[in-house]
Amino acid sequence: MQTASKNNRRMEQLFRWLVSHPKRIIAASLAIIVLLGANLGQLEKDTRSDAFLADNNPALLYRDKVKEVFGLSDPIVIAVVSSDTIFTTEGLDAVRRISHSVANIDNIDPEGVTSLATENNIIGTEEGMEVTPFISDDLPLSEQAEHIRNAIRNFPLYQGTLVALDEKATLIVAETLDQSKVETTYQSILSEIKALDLDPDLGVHVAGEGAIAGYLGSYIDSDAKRLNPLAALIITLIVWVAFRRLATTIVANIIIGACALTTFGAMAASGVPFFVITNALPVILIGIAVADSIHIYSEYFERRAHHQQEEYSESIVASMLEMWRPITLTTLTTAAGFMGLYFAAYMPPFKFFGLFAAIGVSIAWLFSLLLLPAVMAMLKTEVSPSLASKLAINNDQQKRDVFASTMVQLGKLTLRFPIAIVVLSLLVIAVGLVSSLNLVVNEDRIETFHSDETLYIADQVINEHFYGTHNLDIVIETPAQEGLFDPAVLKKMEALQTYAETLPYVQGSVSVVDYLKQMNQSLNQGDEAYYSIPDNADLVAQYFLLYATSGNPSDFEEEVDYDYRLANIRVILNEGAYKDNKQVVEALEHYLMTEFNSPNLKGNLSGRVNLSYHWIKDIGQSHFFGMAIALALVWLVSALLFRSATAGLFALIPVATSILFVYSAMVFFEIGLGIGTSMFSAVAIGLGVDFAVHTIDRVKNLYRQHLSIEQALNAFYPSTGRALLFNLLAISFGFGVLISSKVVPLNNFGTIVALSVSTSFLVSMTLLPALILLFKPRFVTGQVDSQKATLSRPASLLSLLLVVVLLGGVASTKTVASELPDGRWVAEQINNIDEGETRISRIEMILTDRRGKERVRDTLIYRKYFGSEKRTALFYLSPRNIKDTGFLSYDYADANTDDDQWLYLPALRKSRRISASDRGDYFLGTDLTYEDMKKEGKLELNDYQFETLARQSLDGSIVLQLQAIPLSSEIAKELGYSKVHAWVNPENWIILKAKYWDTNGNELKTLQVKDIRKVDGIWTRHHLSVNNHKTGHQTVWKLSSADYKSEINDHIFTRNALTRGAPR
Amino acid sequence: MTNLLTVKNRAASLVMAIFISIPTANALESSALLYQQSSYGYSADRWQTHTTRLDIELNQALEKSNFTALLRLKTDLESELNSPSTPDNYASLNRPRYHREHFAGALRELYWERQIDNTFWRIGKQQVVWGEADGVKLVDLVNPQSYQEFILPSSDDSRIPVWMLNIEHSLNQETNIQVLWIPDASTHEIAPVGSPFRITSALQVPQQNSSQDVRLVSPSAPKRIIKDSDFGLKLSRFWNGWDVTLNYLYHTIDEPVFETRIDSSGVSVVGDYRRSHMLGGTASSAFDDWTLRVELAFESDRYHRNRQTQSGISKANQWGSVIGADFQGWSDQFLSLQWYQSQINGKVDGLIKAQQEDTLTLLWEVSMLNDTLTLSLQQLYSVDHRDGLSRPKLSYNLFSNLDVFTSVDHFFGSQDGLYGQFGDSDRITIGFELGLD
Repeated sequence: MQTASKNNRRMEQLFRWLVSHPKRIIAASLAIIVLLGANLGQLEKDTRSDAFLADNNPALLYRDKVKEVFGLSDPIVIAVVSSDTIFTTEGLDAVRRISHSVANIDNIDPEGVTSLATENNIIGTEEGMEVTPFISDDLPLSEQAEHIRNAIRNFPLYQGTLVALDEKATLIVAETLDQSKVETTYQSILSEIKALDLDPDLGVHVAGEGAIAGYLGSYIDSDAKRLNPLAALIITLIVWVAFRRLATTIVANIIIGACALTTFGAMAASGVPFFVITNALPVILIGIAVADSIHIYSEYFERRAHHQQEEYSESIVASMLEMWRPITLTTLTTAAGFMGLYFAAYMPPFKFFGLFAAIGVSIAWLFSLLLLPAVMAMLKTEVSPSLASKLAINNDQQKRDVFASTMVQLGKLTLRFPIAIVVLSLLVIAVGLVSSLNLVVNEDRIETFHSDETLYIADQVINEHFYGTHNLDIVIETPAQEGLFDPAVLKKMEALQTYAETLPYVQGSVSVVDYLKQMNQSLNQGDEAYYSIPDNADLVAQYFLLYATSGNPSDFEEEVDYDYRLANIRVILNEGAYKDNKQVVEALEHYLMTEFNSPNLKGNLSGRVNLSYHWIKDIGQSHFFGMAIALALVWLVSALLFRSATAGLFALIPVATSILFVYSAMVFFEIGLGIGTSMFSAVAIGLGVDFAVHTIDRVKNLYRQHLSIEQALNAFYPSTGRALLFNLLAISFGFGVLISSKVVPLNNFGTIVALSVSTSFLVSMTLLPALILLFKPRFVTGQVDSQKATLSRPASLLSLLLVVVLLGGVASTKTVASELPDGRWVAEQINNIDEGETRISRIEMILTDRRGKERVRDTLIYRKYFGSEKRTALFYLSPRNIKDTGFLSYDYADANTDDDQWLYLPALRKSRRISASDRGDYFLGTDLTYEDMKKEGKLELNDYQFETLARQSLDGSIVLQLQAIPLSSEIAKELGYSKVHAWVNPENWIILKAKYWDTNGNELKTLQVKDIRKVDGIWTRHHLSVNNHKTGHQTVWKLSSADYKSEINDHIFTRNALTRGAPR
Repeated sequence: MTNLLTVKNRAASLVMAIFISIPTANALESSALLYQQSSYGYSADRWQTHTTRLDIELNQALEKSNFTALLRLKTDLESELNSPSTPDNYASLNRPRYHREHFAGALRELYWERQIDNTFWRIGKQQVVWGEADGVKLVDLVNPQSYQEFILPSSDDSRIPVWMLNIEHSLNQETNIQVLWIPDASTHEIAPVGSPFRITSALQVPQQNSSQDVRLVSPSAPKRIIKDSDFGLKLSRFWNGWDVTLNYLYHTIDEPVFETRIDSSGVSVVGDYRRSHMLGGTASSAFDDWTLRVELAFESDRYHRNRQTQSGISKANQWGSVIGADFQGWSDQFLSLQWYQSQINGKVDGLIKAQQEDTLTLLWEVSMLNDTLTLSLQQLYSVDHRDGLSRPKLSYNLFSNLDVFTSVDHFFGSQDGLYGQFGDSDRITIGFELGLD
């Protein structure tokens, strides 16, 4: 008792200080809000579905590899639909114009557009094979339409894939280059098509995985932008109805705003992006922040109603002393619930959702305990007369408002029929348990959209006319080059395709086997009997050769790799739902393992369908695991707080019952456990447990006053019960707003959370008191430990809160960045690396094109500083064709002075002065620009604005991720880069890796630096590789020797010396 | 075949003797370049050449100096361009060896070089290139040129290396002086009679008048080592971003002067070589995407064809200037424009060529696929004679050490013009260049 009183005195001192120095608290709070809120601008959005998988997920890595080899991404699919036939002048003209227009859109791979206007027909001729475009530019379309129709009829491969089986529609399939830009690309395609002013009788639909990914982000964003303010407005109204005071509603909104700003500011500061599901976080924060305010104000106004003459500050202190404990308890249990999600989730967006919800709850608690009393002290709000009259006379039924009366009625019902309530609840629990066994895991991204959305309709149309919009890739790997020429391999591929096409929802498949069969038939006078795989490897090789000489050799890029070692089979499905795709993926995995794979032949699944399968398949397991952890944490925290394991169990009963009730509803309404719904349990536990904790804490306190459970409960309902009702209304209306969402998963999520929180409230108000009444548990009635049981020691309480929040913080240290050094400072450190006064280096350059063809150059480079001026002379030593080609440059310290450069060409025996203004031009056929060459791994400070983005782990080293953005568009154009990300080792300030984006914002190239060691005491990069993602070209620099000590004759750096070749 | 072997043996013996006699710890470096070219004259409808050429380069580094030798062996299955009866333009030590029309061998270059403090010495048979202009020779007169295929081969291949003493001394980092003494009086090699590139234009050679019996006395290369030797001086400086040179060459003009003489024995046309002073200068600098190149030369005592004088020639000094601008503002492209003007000093009547002549040149190069594929178009156009030469070329670096190429050389304009005279010599060429390290 003494300890409790002592600690309460400490809290009283704290609150008295707060109300007497409100300005300081408000100023300090504002400073924190501004400090963290200032980071909001840096909050990055990541609405990609790939964001749900960790970057090192094997399925994702394999998909990226497939994308690299075959150039396959999630395409945007455009369907041109006619009411009669697509083989009309207007139809074909539309295809041609759209194809041309789309190919020119930024982020669309111009080589990756497939349509009747880009594809070739294969015809056998006397000389061999003729590969001609389906649509010829030389003839009017009106004269070709019939011919094209016949060509497609003789080309089974394109039936159902490129042209609808009913010939009423055709597709234009566009591969994108950078998935993160697909949102803009999708919008560009829509506006380009609109601008084409096509025949109004034709329907043009844009869909496909690329379009879905492109539209999803903006779709959810626009929805959230509409809903979040609506939620805030509704909650404001509820607060006003509860207290009838404008000042109170404003203060509640201040606490909400402060909580939201600080939480999202912290998110931005720690480099965690805003994922699709993060859209639900503001609603949760609004609900939680307002709940604390409601409880404190409720107590405050009740006190004002009873003690009207009391000093405002006294009322505030007394209310805070009464409420700080339950608020802290609920904060701890709610944070514990969200931390359960953090610990159990395997997908980054869920993990961070759990973590930042827990942080947000803690921030709301902090502002409610510190800022709220300070603001209240400034405003000195008086209870409204009408509310005062209702609160002042608790026992007078006539004076109670409708909310208090409802709660009193509910209390009466509970007290009267406790056993019936327990039985009814047990029934609900039993039904819920059975339902949980019947829950179905399912997710279908197209179902994210409302059925009247254009994209949804487009998807329906395409799936109706064609094989489908959902792709599953099977990558076939043979051990050696040209392994695919083996007819045995081709026949196994054919059998695999045949098997795949027997599976449900699989409408067709495409591979190089189909092209070979088509070629075989064409070369045998179109005889259908020859639509088969040629039976010897030489013939297969000849067919490919014939095709290469007759058509575009890159036509098979999406089906085979350059060496004919890897092949891709694209299986097309007309359903994208997980439950449907699951059967196909699992059946194919089984087939590959038992029938296909051998030591010399391997098949692996990839593609969007496989990727979706992998990230959804564990969602059920993750959901139950997360819920178990959340329940365990809530139990642990409640048990510790109430010093009773039974109290912990009692606190769990309402949330457990509500979750089981929701399961029943989901099974009844056939709602699958998917992305939106799977995280409801964490939210339901986090929010729902508050009712139980408030109930237990309050009833216990009231029991101490009345020494009768019945009397304690009678007092509980009109006061705390009423406050909890407003708490419920605020939360369920907040989430209820989501019911009007056009995003179907958010809609489901809102409904389910509102349902579960309402159930929690109801169970907390009925079953929980009934159980207390029936069992009279010791944690309520216990005399001796009653003070202990309410965790009287604030220090231990705060420590516990700290533990819960810090647990998350510590666990997330990998991604939540600690204080990062200034970007420009980092760049200065990079530029200050000692590179020696002189250097003589021998470098082998290996240039490899996208086909794997290598060119090797051996060079000798001299470099010397003349004061601040750097002079470099480079000489080619081999091969003989370019031997003695030389390059000389004078790099001046003044960035405004253009360098002087000369190139010596042996064929002319003359050194030529060259312009140095195009710093972004590639240096002599490599993937490094003249600027890259000149800077030797450093960055020009006058060109970029620098920012340190994160501290990360790279190949076992902790590195700093530095972002460099050109200061102007002119500089960006000169350099050829719109953005550079460099990963810098802070131990030696060497850039280990760098990514470059071109001026259109597309990923351009990646630099990797390896084998960094000291030579003559200077850190030296021995292996550089640059991969150009646009051209597929690669340059590798291997430093075979470096010498920083030998003297270099100044005359080597003269134009005359350049003409003499490398010094010998 | 005997002669060829003799040539090979002699050249090889000389080179080997030098290299063997060098006491050194360094290994001999060698590399070779195999070049093949087949050209079909599409206007004349016959093959011009199937040339295969092997250039072998040997380098021997000594303790402080270096020896370099370049041997060339060449075969041509066609005889269009070659003739053992090529006019004598070579100094005796410089002469290549021929075996009929089909084989030739030459010691292209052989020199010793050393840097001693601020002075660089290169002694032996070599090429020295002056000037800023491309394809136009104003100050670049140090080495004579082979016109066996007019100006179609690359500068490196068509320039005739000569024996000389070449000293370059650096006065400081920016200033350099070069002194040349060239006792090798070899002159331009002109295409033999019957070659598609035989010069016939009245601008350059006297025209045969069928009514007269004319005796032709072919010129002989000057032979006096001291008196006929050339002397050159070049001062170069890098100044405020400009490369500036001043050039002086006292030399034998590499093209013969044909003088008509009438005496008691009749009419004779006597070929002879005369001497001249050349004083010139060059400058170049870069401005943003542009490079500006300027070249200016004054030549004394030049001889020009004249229809009014009895000798058929007249002597006058002449000026020449080239202004060139290179543009590199487009990625992977190079565009170069030049305006070449020559001006004969004073008023000279009866000149066959115009007193002032203007020629425009254009070079446009586009590199693709990381510089493996190069498309180029070279265009030369004589404003006065309205003739010219178009040269589209496509070359591809198939492997590290193998380039394949195809090109067209198309002459157009008046038969009397410098370029138009080869109107029947248009050709299409394919070939490759293989480096052997």
